[in-house]
Amino acid sequence: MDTVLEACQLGKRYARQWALRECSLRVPAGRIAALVGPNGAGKSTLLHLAVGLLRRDAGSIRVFGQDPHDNTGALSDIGFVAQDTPLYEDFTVEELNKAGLKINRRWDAGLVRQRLAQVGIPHHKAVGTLSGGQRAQVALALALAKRPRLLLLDEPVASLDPLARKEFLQSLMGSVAESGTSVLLSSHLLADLERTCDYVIVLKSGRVRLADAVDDLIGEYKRLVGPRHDGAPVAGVRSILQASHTDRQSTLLVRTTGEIADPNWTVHDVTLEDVILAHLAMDDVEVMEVAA
Amino acid sequence: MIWLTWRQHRKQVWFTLAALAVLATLMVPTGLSMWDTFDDLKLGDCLARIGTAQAIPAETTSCSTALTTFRSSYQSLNLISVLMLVLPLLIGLFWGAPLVAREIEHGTHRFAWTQGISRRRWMLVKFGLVGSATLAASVAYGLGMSWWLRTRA
Repeated sequence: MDTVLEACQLGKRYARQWALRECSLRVPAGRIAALVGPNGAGKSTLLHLAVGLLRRDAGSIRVFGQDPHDNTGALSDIGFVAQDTPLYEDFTVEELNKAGLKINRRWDAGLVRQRLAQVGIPHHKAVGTLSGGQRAQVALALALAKRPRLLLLDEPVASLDPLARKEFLQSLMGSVAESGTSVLLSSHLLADLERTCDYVIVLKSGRVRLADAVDDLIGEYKRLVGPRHDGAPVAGVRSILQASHTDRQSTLLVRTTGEIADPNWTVHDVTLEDVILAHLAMDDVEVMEVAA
Repeated sequence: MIWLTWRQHRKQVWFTLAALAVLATLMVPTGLSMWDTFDDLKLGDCLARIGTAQAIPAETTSCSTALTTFRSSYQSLNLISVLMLVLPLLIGLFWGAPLVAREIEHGTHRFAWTQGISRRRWMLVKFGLVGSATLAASVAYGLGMSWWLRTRA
């Protein structure tokens, strides 16, 4: 499996505070990967490092095998939509398209016009007068015009209403499927991700907690309901992420190694959201030790 | 990048040109009339003779009368000439400073710096063009002002 983005022991420090620390991850090619984590987890920092806006303080980050910092060559393969979709407010859509054409070696101006015509955004309108959803569509179209091999999106749907969010993610999936572009998008809207993404990276306090294909996660993690559990190992369970108990009954969120054969347990499927939330809720012993 | 810089700052260019034109329509008539009065009062002769043996008492009196007349008719312009001295500084502060800072403030540098040109080139073109335009405007302004404030020998 090809890797588009690889970070190894990556670290980034603002003043004395580490925003990202010992972060190692791989984003496989051809996936729509989600970067998930609470606010301040280092998602934006990671994306900014990947697109070369920031310089790493430790470790390494490679995009298509190259260091992206101050590397114009690597940039032409990366499409980037920053948080809050910054665009020149007084420019019209067509003027932004022209600007892109002038400052990029590879630029598909026709693609921008076609995409925006599809979603009904007039090209002579100033960007500042567009709605949030339209603005996001413009930013996405401009990022895709570079015909990137990797698309990085920083909270692209955070400010959109549910309908605009759905439309945005649908048009994203559509265009990515056509072009075979790999995507890494950060979000804290977990419900949207299960429909959109096929790979997930969970980041918390600047470290990677989980990085796996969505199908594998949903297959491996199960919710078990059964008689009150005293902590004894259950056959077929690799680890217990969460346990809640009543007097007689226990509910466990577990990572399995195979079928749960014990008839005392009823096995339920879990959603991606459940798995992610369980990982985010887990106390990280390692982090606590470092802090102490 | 040249087009982008032009598109971003063309408003300032038009405003600057318009301001220079307005300034010229104010300054050219007052400049010419000052020049005329200066000639009528023969102040040029007085100036040429200052500090020489020719500046005899009788003429000094007529010269100082002429000077007083000249001063009283253009006294109000004194204030304007002080303003003209500070004006470029004010324009530079309020107009020039946000040219690039605004990019950071609105976060649009995250757009501009992730396109296909290096930050170095972005910076060079931007500062180069804006700098040369500013230089041209201030040279025009400077020449205009020294024309306005000149005396005829």
